[in-house]
Amino acid sequence: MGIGEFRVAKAPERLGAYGLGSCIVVVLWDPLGSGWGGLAHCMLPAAPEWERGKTTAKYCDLGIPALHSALAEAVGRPGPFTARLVGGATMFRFPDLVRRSPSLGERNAEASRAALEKLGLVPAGEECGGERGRSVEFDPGDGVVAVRSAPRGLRLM
Amino acid sequence: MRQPGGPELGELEMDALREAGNLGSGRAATALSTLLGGPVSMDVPRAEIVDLAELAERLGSPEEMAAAVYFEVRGASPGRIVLLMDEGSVGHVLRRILGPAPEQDAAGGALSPGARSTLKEVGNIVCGSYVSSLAEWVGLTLTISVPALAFDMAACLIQSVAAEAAEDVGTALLLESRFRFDGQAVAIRLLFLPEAGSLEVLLSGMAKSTGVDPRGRRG
Repeated sequence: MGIGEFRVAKAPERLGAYGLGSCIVVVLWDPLGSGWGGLAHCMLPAAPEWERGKTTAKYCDLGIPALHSALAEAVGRPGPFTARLVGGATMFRFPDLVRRSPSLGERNAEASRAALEKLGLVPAGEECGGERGRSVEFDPGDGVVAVRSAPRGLRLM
Repeated sequence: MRQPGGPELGELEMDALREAGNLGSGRAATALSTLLGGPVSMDVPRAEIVDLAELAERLGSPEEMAAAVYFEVRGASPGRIVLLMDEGSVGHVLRRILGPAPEQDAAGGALSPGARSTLKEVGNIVCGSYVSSLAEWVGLTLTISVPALAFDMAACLIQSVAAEAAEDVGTALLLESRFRFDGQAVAIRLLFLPEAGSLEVLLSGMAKSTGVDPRGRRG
């Protein structure tokens, strides 16, 4: 799923997002066995004024409630749902810049936690921050969220 | 953040940016010849404006490793400039400068200190050449910051760069070029990301020095 997309799916379908740097993925899952879950791929913490009212997961503050509504509709009840967060890395650290702290990735993670809290949710699992990129796959059947980073450094032979 | 809606770039403006790219490439090739200890030639770069939302999908395969050297551009038209090199090109450059098998950190993801400083220096040369050529071309003062370097999945690097630029409602200009040494081509990609309003400053500077009036060419 690309940046700004969100989707719900039922097992055996799986959802995934690849190449997360500062972006954040929010996974919501129904733990009561319906086999439904959803994933949103967010890029920025908060929607600017001219984007408000749009249905997009580009922004954490819009994407997370949109994903939650879509899942509630699919399952036929408003919860309980399990939330997980992945991403929000800081790929580039400038040694001399104060204004990049907190980084965009860190702000995305914080905005996602805040958006979840508004929905009465606390992340049951987080794989956030750090300096490494990630890819994520989610199986709504068993609820497992698999996170992968680059397998190796550079090898020259 | 401001409402988006930067200038539309016509062929004349793109030609002018390409020309600045040519000048920068020539300058970079000369400087790289010294670093690499042999003649370096550089192709004429291909330039285009790319959509920030599509950048990562378009340029970065999730499985491909790449190095990115990232600079802030400071001055009259602030923004960012990023040099991207794929794993093969990184290896080729490092072998040339550091020897056949430079020591790498086996912990993964990390490059040796020697490899890191070498890649930053290549970034300094290429991005510095481009920015100083552009500055001269448009008659403005532009400098670059110290670099930040990352070696990771290409898509993650490009996504992070694109997101920061998107937050500033910036524009992305992609320059693709290849430099050749030792009979091998090393592909480089240069992303120039002016912040909101910066491209207008560049274009009006360009209009003064080339006679192209960007205000007459908005779509």
